[in-house]
Amino acid sequence: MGAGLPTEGTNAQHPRAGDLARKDVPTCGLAEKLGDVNARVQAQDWDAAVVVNEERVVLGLLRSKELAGDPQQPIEKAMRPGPSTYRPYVSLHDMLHAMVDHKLVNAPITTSDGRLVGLLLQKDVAAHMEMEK
Amino acid sequence: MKEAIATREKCKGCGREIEVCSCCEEPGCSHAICFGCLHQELKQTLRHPHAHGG
Repeated sequence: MGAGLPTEGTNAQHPRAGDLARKDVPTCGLAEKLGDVNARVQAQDWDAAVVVNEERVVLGLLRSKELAGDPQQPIEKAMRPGPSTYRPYVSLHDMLHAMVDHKLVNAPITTSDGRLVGLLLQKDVAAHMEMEK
Repeated sequence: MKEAIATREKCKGCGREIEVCSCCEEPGCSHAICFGCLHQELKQTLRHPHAHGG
């Protein structure tokens, strides 16, 4: 489960953080410039990007606040380093509670070895929970 | 010379003093939580069994 692989059993039908995480989140490397990344993020209609290495291990996060910084800055300086990450098997109910309590608009979902699964958006979780009611 | 005073938060789970909330990493979080309690809350880890085996 920690690797984000499919599960089976009666509980497997309930979606979890990894199922709802957006896999198409823009990613970038440490050496890029913030302005270039921001342009790419906006072109893809996103307001966040995840900083990863060659093995897609999460190194940092760029939320709208960080993306609005000096465009000449390297990502290494602009990013929020070592963000809290969550495992794909965490229940949507628990994730929504944490995201609402801590005012997180998004949260990176990673495997137990730190590889990016996707970015979970609070609005997606809330919409899903509403739909399930 | 003035020294910077680091603000300390209290974990809502165990009451331990922490530098910053492990979930949002924002100073002054009203739901500040330590790394251990956050991971227990999200069931990403299990509480250690009693030292004597329970």
